[in-house]
Amino acid sequence: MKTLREVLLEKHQAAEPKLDAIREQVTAGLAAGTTNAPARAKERERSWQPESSKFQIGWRRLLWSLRWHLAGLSAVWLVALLLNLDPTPDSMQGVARRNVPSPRQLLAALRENQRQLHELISAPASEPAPEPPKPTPSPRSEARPFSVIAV
Amino acid sequence: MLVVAEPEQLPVPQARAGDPAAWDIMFRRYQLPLYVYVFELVHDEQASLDIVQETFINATRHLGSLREDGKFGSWLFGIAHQKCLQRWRKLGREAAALEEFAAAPIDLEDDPAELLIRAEQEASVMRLLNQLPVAQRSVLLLHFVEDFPLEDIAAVTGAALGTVKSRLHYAKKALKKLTEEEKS
Repeated sequence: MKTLREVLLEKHQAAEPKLDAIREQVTAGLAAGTTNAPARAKERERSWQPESSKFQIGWRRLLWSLRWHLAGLSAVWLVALLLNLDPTPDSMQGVARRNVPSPRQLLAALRENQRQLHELISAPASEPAPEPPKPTPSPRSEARPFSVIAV
Repeated sequence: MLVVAEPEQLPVPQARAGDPAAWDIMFRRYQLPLYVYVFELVHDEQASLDIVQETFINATRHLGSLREDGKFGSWLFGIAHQKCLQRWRKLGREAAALEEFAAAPIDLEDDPAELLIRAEQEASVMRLLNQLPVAQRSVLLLHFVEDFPLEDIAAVTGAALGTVKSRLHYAKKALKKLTEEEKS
């Protein structure tokens, strides 16, 4: 003779492994949530040591000690990168940047300017321009008065 | 043979402190009875497993709402009961289930003696159990599976104490009738 409790528990005994899995999953999640972070970090650090050489351990310790600095620098670099990214290529900044000549072009333009200046400066010495003829006033006596010639 | 710890031996204070080992002990204690209760109400293996899991997760999150450590078991069953109601609601069966709860007659006669079931009666008893209205089935399961006091059953199901008494009485009467018929 059995009680109803025994009958029911025996009937569902087959579900026990699945219930065990559920229980373990829930308690594992609970353990992951309640263990404090520093203790976990120490455990993680300790777990590296057996499989690493002295150099690796030292290197990792150095990196680990600088983790916040490295993270901060990385964040700064990321921000700088994001700020420098130009999402609109047709913006004024892009146009202005495209209009700036290259150093080679600048040099060529400078040389051209120098050449032209040189030509301007040196041209009168080598080849003097002919003076325009001075207008010589004729004597008043030679001036013929306006007269009407009768034909 | 199932080894069941007494409720007062459960490490509820340690669980309140967030000790996973304490939770493991308490869940191990209740996982099968809780599954039995849920399964016999919803009759779906996967849904029952899901409800048990959700009950465990909710228990870890809301243990602060448990006032008396000694009532952990009924508190846990109360969460599961609410999950069953939510499932019925989702399936659109809430109205039918609540109708069944309300339709259970009130009778305050003394409770009959504890039922003992012979091996050949087991299948019939289980069949009858499944034929009972949800309200009676729920009360009967809580009484027989966990032997909760009537006050705790009332708290789990959200019913009045008198209603719980009558439901339990009718459920037991129906089962006794069956066993007597089997004998004769």
